[in-house]
Amino acid sequence: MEVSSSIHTVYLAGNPNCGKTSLFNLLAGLNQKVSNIPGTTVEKVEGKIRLSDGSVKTLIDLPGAYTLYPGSEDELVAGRNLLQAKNAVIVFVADATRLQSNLFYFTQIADLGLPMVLVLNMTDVAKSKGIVVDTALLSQLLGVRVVETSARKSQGVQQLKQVLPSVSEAYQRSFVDPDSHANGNVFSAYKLAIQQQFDASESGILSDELALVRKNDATYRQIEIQHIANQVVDVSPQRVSFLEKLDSKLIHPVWGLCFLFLLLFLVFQAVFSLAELPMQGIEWLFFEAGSLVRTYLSPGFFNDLLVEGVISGLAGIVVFLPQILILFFFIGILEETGYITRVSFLTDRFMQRFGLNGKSVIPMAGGLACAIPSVMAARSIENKAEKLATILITPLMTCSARLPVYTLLISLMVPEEQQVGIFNVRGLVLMGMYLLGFVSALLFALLFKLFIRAKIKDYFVLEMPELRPPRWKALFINLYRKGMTFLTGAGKVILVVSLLLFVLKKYGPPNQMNAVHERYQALAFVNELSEDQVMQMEAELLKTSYAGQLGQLIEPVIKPLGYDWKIGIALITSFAAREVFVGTMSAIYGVADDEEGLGLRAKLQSELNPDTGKPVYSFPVLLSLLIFYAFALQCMSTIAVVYRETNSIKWPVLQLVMMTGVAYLFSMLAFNLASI
Amino acid sequence: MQQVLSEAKKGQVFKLLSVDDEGLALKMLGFGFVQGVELKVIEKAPFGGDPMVVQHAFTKLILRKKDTACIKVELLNQ
Repeated sequence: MEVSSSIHTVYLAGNPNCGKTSLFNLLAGLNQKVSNIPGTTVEKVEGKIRLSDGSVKTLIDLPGAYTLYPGSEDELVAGRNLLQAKNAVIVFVADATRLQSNLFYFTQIADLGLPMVLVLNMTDVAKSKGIVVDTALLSQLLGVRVVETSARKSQGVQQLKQVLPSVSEAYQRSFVDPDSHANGNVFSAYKLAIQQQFDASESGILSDELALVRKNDATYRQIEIQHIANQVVDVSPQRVSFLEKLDSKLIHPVWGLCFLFLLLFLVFQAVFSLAELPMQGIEWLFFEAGSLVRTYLSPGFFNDLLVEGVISGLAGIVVFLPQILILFFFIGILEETGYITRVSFLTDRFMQRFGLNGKSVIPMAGGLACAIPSVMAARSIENKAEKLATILITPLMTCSARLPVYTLLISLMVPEEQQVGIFNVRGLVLMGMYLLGFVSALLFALLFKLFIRAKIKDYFVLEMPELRPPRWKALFINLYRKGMTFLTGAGKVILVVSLLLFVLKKYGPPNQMNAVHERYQALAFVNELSEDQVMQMEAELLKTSYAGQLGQLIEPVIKPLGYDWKIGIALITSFAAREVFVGTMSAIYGVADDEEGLGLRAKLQSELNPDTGKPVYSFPVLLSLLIFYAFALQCMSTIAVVYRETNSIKWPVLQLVMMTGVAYLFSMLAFNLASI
Repeated sequence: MQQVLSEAKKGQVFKLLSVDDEGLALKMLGFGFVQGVELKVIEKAPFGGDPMVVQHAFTKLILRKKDTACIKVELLNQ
């Protein structure tokens, strides 16, 4: 029967960690479209596949799921797609090493009565573990075409493309208990039952009756599956592999924890020391670009805008790219190898005490990069109270937006190249800030626990995937994407703020600005202005400008923290996003427009208080700023995303008040204690 | 000898007798943890052995003490 033309879509379905996405990459190549499914955080990945008969079909990678009885958002999305699938073939990808447990989801999908192909992936891994699957018998027992693949080694892909055009007939065998749907068509009755289960899961209300249906259905299936697996899977004991030996050490109560701490320590040292050289290079590059514009473009408004607005704004973003990429690189390795689940295991008991959960480690670790996607990642936590607590504390983790701020402040605080033993002191202080973020996240969790009420019973059942070497290609593609997101996402905000600031800095109330100009023009008429007088004039102009006025307006509020109106401007602008602080400072101090080649650090170091003649950026002020940025919720996007995720104005407001309130209090305390 | 899984020691192998919690039972069913299968306690976490890693075939699950307390098992060997 030649019905291949009626098939338009090929769906890839399967459990998480079955190698589905690797297979998708092989089938679709780089021609992929990633979009967010509306109203969810789940990504929809779509591509095109050319089959061996020359036809081209749409290929859709469904989110990984364990069951059609949805327990997570991924499972809801995958299930909805399958229930609505028409003119489609389902390619079910099973991990050959865990065939029996993968078959559960397979049988549920099979009962929907769509054309199906079973892909037995990771067959090479299975063989190395002594697992042999009789695919011919499996195919016969299940009544489905079986294709062996190894997505990692790109094997079996051509065969799948050859098999697919011939698969067009609906799946025939049923795994439904024949007694449960005694009347009528088993497939349609089952589909109706699954639909009911779906609606129940979506509304969050699962009646006892439906729960019993689920359990009976699941039990019947498992008996059938066990019967099949016993016949087709043959396991001969193998020597314990190196990775398995390593794994047993990684989850060991003592060695595992030691390794975890050592790893975190090394990562932070690396973020600081490896990034130093590229950062200097980038600073130099932008300085040269600024000089070039100054030399070859006629002076005037446009020249100033380009150098003081655009170039110094861009420099403020790009300079932090090395650190962000290095950090993402390490987090990527932890995720790719499956180590992150070991971290969940080691820390769960500890996290439970704070009303959190071993799974909170994933959003929290993600919070080291950015709170925005991490707050969304908390969706994978099924326990509602623990999920809410995780959402509320994730922004306290030291995100990459704080990194530029910390880097700048720490480099002002600690003289260059200072070492304690073999350790870089700046690296140690930075690690201290990460520790502060983590500890305060836990303490805030205790605090927020007072506001959270939980009633529904929840379970913590987490699958621990095999430890495996990272797929470098996937890791680097991800790294590239995240780097671009930082540059374009944060970059846009920073650039707009930089330009706005340039204008606010350049202009002020006209009569007041003119008064300053006239006063110095009169002086210049008598005598050529000395260098000091020029600097004085510039300082007065900045103070008179709109930006200066804004800073002075809030100065009384921030004075107890040790800040002046210049820092005030940066506090206001960086409410948009923390890293804007650095860009603002660069703009205020006109860093790109600097003939002596001094960076922002040097400029800040030499800044003196006009009243006292002492350095503005003294130790107490720097400490106070560090603490302020550790706690304050200086991020509009986080507030927006927490509002969306909790669907209530109460939680983001509580979060903002608590975090920024504590920031204000602790900064004031630190400033006054350090000043003694 | 019948006991609850939460009292198991690292390295012990059990036969799964029953899961006395419908919700938990269903979750475990999805991973192939059915009545009668063999379970091995792979590791117990620091801070009082909670949670623990339990393996059946090639699937390892992380389970909390409060959940393993309602899983009845029979010790097969040390």
